Amino acid sequence: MTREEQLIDAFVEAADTLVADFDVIEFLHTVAGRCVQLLDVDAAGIMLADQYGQLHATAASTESARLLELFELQADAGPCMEAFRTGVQVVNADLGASEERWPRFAEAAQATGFVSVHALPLRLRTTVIGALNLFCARPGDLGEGDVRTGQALADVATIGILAQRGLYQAELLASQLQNALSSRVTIEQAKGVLAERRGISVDEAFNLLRRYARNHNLHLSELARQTADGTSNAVELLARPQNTTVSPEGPDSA
Amino acid sequence: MVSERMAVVITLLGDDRQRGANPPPTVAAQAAAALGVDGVCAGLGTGSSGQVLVWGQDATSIALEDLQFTLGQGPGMDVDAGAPVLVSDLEAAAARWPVFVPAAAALGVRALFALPLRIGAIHVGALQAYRANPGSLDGAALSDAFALAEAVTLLLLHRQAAAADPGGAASGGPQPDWSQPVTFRAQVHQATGMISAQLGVTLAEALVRLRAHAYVEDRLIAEVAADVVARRLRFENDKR
Repeated sequence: MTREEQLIDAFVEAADTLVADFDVIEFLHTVAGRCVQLLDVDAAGIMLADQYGQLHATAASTESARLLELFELQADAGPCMEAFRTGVQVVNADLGASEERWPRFAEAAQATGFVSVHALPLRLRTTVIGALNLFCARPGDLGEGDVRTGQALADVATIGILAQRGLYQAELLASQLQNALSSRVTIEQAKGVLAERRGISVDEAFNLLRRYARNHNLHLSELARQTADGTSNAVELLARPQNTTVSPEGPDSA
Repeated sequence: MVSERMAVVITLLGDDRQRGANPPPTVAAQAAAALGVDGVCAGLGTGSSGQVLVWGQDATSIALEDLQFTLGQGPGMDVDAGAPVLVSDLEAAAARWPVFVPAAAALGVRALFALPLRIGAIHVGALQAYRANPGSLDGAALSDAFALAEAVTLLLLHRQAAAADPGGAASGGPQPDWSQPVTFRAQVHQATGMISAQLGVTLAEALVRLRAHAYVEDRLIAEVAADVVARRLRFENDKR
């Protein structure tokens, strides 16, 4: 597929999702994944702000603890916080030259193997609700076309959070945003339950959860809720596979 | 961002003198003033069994809750789905709750904002704020309302845990750092899930146990959570 075809594909997919019943977290994950496919970047994440103006990682191109930590490190200072506070794009920030600007974040991002970072605001009229975070592992600037496409994907993410087309009141936005943040918390809780019950890492737990939701045509957030609060009847998801080694202590010791 | 006024209200909620008790009623009036509404109440319980009001029980809020429970409709019922239901003008929403809206108007309630008392899959009830005049909560008031809902959720979780286990680690009431937003770190929630599976308890109890452990050991909750996720720390039953 040419790049143009891929682009069309991505936006058609987004439009298809938005007119149907969809899961907002799953949708944001898809958008983050598309960023890595379509743009010259190696990782992408979507950060949403809560009532304290604190940013939370809500979806990522790859759900790894290291990447999530990089998002969390930007709570005080980092490109996403800048894009969120100012509403202005942060593009081609050289991590090697950002140690004064964002000391902790720049160091951690470089340790993970990234050389540059970008943050595009998630905007709705005059409100900024979060940021799309993009990371590059190779030197070289992100081109203007990529920045424009990235911003378009950020806008698609914003529309996805709003969900109801045409209803743009502040109250509805706040309600949807709050719901997205809560759904993300539910997914973290479900990752913990699954990791413990199956003896796997939280990263693996997420992949399992997402794969299961897709294969069984379930909403990720709903499956996460049922897994987290123990009401899920997805036995094959929750049961520890027979062939895995059980920790020597067993579940009730240590 | 959360206003100074609401920050004071949240601090008062966790006041030492109130430990183990329901949130103090005078603070409900202060919370209402901070939000620019006429009353604020919090209820425990979800689903068709309705809610038991535990905070801000004035005549209007009791009548509102009775109405919604009896009629089986209203913003306070719909909030069970997990998302806030913010209705700045009830009359304009009469199609959604055809029986409730006129009854609420008879009580003099024209705007009603219902927020879930929820931390992920932990769902304890709802916070409701009402006003005699229609009109939306502005952005600042909304931030305040969400912060209040989170604080009340934590307070009620600790109160439930203390009632269930009077001598337990949670019986000291919410810990000094209690009003810090718990949603800050993903690992706190991952650890909550892991602890609930380790102990075979609800997520709500697991979160309280995690916080109590951090308090007893005088460590940050995020640090303890990181230990749990890295499997350096395991919770077990009956060994406090």
